[in-house]
Amino acid sequence: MDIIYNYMSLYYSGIYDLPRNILIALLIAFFSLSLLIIFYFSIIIKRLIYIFYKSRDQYWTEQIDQLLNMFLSDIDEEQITDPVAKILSEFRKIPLKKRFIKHLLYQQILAYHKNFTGNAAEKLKELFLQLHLEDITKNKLMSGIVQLKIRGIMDTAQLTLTEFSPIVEQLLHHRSSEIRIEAQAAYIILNKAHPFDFFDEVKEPIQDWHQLVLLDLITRLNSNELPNFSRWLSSNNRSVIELCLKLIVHFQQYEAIGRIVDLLNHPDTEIKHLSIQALGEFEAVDAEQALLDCYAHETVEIQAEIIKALGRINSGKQLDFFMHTAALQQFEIAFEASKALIASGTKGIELLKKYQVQAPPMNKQILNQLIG
Amino acid sequence: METFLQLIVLFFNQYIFGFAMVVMFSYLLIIVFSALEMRSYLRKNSNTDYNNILVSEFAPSVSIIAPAYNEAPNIVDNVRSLLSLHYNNYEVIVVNDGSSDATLAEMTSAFDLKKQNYAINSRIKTEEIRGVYRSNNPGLERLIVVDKVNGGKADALNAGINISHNSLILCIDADCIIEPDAILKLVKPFMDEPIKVIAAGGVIRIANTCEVKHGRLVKVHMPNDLLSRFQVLEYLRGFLLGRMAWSRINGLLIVSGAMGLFDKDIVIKCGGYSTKTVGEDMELVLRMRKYMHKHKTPYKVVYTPDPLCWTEAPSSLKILGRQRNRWSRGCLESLIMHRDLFFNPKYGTLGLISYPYWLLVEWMGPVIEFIGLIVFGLLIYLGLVNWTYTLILLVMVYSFVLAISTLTILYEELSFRQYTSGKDLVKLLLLSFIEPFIYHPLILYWEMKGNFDFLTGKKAWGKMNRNGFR
Repeated sequence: MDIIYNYMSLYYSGIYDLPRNILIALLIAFFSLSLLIIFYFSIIIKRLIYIFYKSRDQYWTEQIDQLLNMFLSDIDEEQITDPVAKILSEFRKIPLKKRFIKHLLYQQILAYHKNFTGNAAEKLKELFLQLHLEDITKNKLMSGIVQLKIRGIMDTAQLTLTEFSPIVEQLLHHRSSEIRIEAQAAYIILNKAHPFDFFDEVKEPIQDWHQLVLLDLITRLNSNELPNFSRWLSSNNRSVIELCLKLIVHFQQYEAIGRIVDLLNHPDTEIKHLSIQALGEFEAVDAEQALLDCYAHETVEIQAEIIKALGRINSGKQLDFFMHTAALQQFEIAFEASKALIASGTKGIELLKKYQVQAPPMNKQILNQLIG
Repeated sequence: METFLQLIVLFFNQYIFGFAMVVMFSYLLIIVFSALEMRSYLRKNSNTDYNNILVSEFAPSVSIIAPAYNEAPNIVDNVRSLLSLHYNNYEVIVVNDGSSDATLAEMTSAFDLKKQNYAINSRIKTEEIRGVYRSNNPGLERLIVVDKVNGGKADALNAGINISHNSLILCIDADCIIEPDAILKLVKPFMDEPIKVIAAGGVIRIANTCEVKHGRLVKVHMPNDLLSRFQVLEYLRGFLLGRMAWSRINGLLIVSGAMGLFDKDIVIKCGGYSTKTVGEDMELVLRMRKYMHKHKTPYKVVYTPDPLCWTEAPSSLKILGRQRNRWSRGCLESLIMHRDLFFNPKYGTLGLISYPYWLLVEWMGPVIEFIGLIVFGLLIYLGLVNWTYTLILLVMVYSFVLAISTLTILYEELSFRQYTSGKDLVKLLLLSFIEPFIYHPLILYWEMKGNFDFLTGKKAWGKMNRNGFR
């Protein structure tokens, strides 16, 4: 025992005698080697877990798929009156008490449901409910983990589980933007009576991505059930106005033209841009003067957009204006004005052809592309 | 005299050791930040349904710009692959930069191209454009081929920018394999960040030995040759650790030239790519960031950790040497061109953290290492080396480097797990043991050569021969 003690004390005093830098180096080496061992174990364990789960899930996924395929073919069979009741007994043979199998079944039914519409989708939802899988959805909705909560909202929306609507409603103004996006999208699906109520209250900006998700969803709804989106054009939330302008154009709500003209003086450039685009899309002859009035004090980008809109409106009254702007030395403006003249017909093309002979190189290049 | 010499050696030792500590500490910070960024990215995007943007008429429009110089053997396959990406609103602009081979002819015959009158809004000055070609085939409506006088990659990209019609430009290398959903994943940050995103980069991976069919990557393998394998490990470290960490603190100075999505408006306002440097990708990002600071507009440069672009790594020492020499020169050129950023508080993170890090660690690190090696050789010659201490210091550096490389492999395992085969994983782990002794000295040599070439005024790009994909 004494021998070991003597050796240890010698060893330690040896270490303390080392220069400070070398001591630090030893410490770092020790720290790095310890981390290295931890990283190696983590990699090996992670890979083993991956292999284990993969092989385990593969077997049960195949079993579930077989039953679901059988169920889907039964739906089409006229002799089978209640395919859900028939297949339930088969599903109950699977050990659904095991959590992972129940979750696999949950995922597979949702995956199948996503790929089917009509009766098949309805029956899959019925099967889902009969197997009490909505408990999993509820647990996800109530989970504190953001990702699970989002998944729960998405699943609720996919299966239109209206009984969870109050939970989703509470999440409409959640501080996490990801949860908010999904909750608002789900709310539109679940709340058939007033799906866009939240537009009145939404304080946070609806980011472009979020708008895209909502647009994708709303444009698939029946247009007869939609409100007049112009009622939100005076919203304090800039992004709500943007979203509504896109919706107004998509659903061709012409009655909104007057409200859109008011937005031409909006301080936000993007809203101004979208408003001009909308008036062009609607070929709003009544808005022509308003567009011309704001032309002079706008940026080149907005001016080009105004000419584009006037070109679409194509009233035939703006040929002089188009000709004047087609001769400018600003590429975007000259290009749009030349296009507008071409769109206005023979008279416009004649004017351009006459101008082409004496046009400066840039304008000539534009005309060569457009009229040859 | 002897005391004076001892003092110098002592100062040198202390300085180098202090520098090593700073570098190691910065790596530890990089590890922490990259882990946070990776976790945040995976959480944010794990439930994302990219189909929304894929089919939406409201998705932002993108122009892909692919400069091509003497790419005749692969150009048709590469363009076909670009034309079949999963996105709705995009156009493909291939810029034939005065190729001396049949690059243009191959495209003309494969895509039935016809020269057209085309008005070009020359907002950025470029070499003369000889012609713009489009196809009569309505299925190829999104393809535009530009033929111009040779002016280098930066000039070709600028020509593409002048031609492009869309608000976002995706600048890529024509010889890369782009993942089908690359645009979808790169566009998202431009749409969901609360502040303006001016540039987004994606992770570049090594495609050597991977299986490629019709310009698409179908199976990932570890490369057969050792040199390319080292680059796999190096790229993983660079992208999964480095770039992700810088993305976290909005301090990215570079978006890889192989693939980067940019806000066209800002690129044009900054004057486009610089033709005065071989590091045009880094230089552009620096200039864009400075522009945003000068205009006091909040902005972000982001990185997407998804493997979105696969490139063929040089598999010969000669070609790799040329590439690293060029990278090294490009980095130094960009740093010198923007030297006013150095510890300049006006530029926030850019001036106080990113630029000093790149100058003091990324550029000066290899220089100090090289000087250290010379001094070490001198001390051996003079018999002044304490071998016990040397061994301890070597163990410190080696174990630290090894831990970082292994952590990168762990990150890969926890996130995208591209190397599914167990054998590939073992190869990667073994590589990390030998990399510091074989690959690192080579890189150090080429970096020093790049610095030397910069000082002697060498400007050449260096010919890059590729073997092509199998």
